[in-house]
Amino acid sequence: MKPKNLNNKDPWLLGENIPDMDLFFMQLFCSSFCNDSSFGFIRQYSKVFSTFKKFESNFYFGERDSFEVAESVLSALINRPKFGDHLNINIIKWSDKLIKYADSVDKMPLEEYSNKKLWQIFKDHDDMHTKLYTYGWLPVAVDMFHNNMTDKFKQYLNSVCEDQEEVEKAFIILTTPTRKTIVAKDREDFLKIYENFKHEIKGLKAVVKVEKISKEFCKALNEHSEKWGHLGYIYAGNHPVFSSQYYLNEMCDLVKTNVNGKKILKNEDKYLIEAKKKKQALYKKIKINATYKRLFETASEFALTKLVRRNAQLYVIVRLHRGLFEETAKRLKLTKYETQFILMHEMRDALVNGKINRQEIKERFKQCAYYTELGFEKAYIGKRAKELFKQVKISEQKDITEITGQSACPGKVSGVVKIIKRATDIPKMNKGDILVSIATDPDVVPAMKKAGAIVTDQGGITAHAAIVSRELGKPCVIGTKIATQVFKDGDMVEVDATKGIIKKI
Amino acid sequence: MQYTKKFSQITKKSVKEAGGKGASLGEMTQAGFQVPPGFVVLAHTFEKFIQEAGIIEDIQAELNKVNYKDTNSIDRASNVIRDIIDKSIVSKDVEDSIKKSFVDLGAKFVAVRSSATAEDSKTASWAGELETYLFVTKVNLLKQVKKCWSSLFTPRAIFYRHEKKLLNTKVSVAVVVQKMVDSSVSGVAFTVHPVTEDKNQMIIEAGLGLGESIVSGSITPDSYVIDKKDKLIMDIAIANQEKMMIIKGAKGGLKWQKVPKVKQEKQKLSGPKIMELSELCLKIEKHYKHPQDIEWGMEKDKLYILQSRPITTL
Repeated sequence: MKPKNLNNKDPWLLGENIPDMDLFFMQLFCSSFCNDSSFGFIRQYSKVFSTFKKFESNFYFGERDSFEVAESVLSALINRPKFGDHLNINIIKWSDKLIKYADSVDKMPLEEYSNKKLWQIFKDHDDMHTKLYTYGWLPVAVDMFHNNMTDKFKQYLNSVCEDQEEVEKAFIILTTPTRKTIVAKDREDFLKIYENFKHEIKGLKAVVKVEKISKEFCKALNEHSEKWGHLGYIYAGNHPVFSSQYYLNEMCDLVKTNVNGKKILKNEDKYLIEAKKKKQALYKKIKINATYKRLFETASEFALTKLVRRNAQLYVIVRLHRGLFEETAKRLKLTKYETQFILMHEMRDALVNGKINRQEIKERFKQCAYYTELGFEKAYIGKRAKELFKQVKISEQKDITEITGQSACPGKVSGVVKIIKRATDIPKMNKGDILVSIATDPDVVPAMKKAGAIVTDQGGITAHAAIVSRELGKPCVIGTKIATQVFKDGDMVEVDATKGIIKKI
Repeated sequence: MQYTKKFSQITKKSVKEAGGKGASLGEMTQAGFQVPPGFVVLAHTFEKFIQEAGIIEDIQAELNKVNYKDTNSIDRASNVIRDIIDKSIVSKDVEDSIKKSFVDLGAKFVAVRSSATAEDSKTASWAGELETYLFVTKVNLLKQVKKCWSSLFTPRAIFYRHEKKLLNTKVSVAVVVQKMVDSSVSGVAFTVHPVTEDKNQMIIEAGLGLGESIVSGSITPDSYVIDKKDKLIMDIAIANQEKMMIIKGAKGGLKWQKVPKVKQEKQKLSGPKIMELSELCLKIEKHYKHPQDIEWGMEKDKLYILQSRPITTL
């Protein structure tokens, strides 16, 4: 069988650069993008392409195609009053299911299971996780690549607001969630432990090994790591989970600033109440029709449910990697990382029929391309992969000194650029530095707190950076597309987040 | 006998008494287009005037003397006739009626325009040849009405009627008196995007002050793109405006004024006003069943349609 759309005229558009991806996870969503037909009125992607150099990965859509997909989701959200809620409810439901399933797999005596039974776990997980994407992807698809939903919202606000300034303000207020994010719950748990053991932490002369602290404290930190540590473990597992030691170090840092945990929590609650009040006041001042009121509510829920999905996904990934993948790797005589580059149908062949091409899989882990369309998928290595890489090569962004994006939180500030993609980059961050990232995932929140301003490549209504920056009151520009390519560590920049402009100075 | 009629009492069938222009303004008012309010001094008021003043024979005598091959002769006749009309006295009841209509209108300044009437519409098409006076106040209103009346006898009008062999056709003139909109914001609207020719998009341009400066291109206005179907504002481009045109003092006339710094970069029309105006323009387009090029103005938060023409270049 041959792919139909691989070489069609629609130019490739970079969807996302992910520094820590594997084929196992990539396949999960790419296959769902092209094959899932749960909603007849939503267009499927006609082609998705990705590249891997080890874990460094990019995925691409057709430019026109991804726009049309977004339009179909947008029109469904506008014209089907219950669709947005349906998505949000199901994202939460299937995230819960996935977490429960992860817990059950974690307890299974895998080494006693037959290969066939191991395959069954892969399959069950794949079905469940794909189902989550059925709902979970649409809030991303509708806005992240072409800003279809943001544009529509602003066009609507144009027609009910005094001027552009009011439009920008209203947009921020109306799309900010007024409930706690799941990440805030992690923070809450963390601060509770901090308050309980503050006395002990204060007594520590310097940062110590976790083995040196009291048993109760250690137990609390271990439990916290088990419950939330996966937020540091992104996709491929090339970053460790946040360990009890990680949290201990953070607490030692915190105690130096003499921060009161209870006060922080109170302030966070206060912030949510303020956000709710602002929203109510705005609804009084500006006449917003029922359809758009509903859409704004849906969008701010999208931002929350995206984090719920992300949390569940990382939770399950950690558990599969340490159990199922370790066991499978042993049986297939591959490393765990190599096992993460096996496609699902090959996994079935390997575990059920004993057929496997180890050499090819080893090659893939070094470098490969992966292409999906309706009813077709293939991983390419060697010469063919290199040819395909050329199709998506983007010219280097060398001479650019000024870029623009969407204002997520207004303000103007100058500072030194630090590229912070993952938690492991956080140590280089100094207070007042400009945090530049692809997207700020929850793992880099400690760096966001130190930042003078935040700039991201990715944007959209569900952007985590937007929510956190507003809560922290830091100037933030999202959706610049190329900030991480244009700037490097040490560059001096001026961020005008009110206008959405970042300039080298 | 009624000497004047408000626009709201006039329809497109009123050409005979209100002239072409008056009838058209009446029609637009009836259709709810928010044209600036006004009234028409009816054609028979003019006829009553020349009759009561006893000058019909004098005028005819002058016309009979004209040698149409000699422009000086036409000019001379025009001067004499217009002088006769200017010096003749308007009866008290007509004068009172016109002044009362003006007071009822509640405008500081009005535009006074002649609106010719004739038995067939072709003849009426020389309405454009007749006269317009802007920034007219109560004090000089009657004088300007008389000037409009005498505009039936400009050299061009006299020559035209001779050329078209209309000298024996009954022609008369009504006078349109319309509130001058002292626009704080004004501009133009195209009910079809003039560049992309997208029929689903409308463009509104808006600037501070009177519309003359936008129409003449001496300031760059804000530009708003509206999706006609979804009723959304697709794009807002704000132009920095440093000067605006306003009415100069009590006697009328125009002058430039500096725009305060804080207002220069502000959006000229609010979102809800843009939508209100676009609804109005859509109504006009629908009424005339053709894309329109519309001049509009806003005084004290109220929108007025100053002129609407079909876009002929599409």
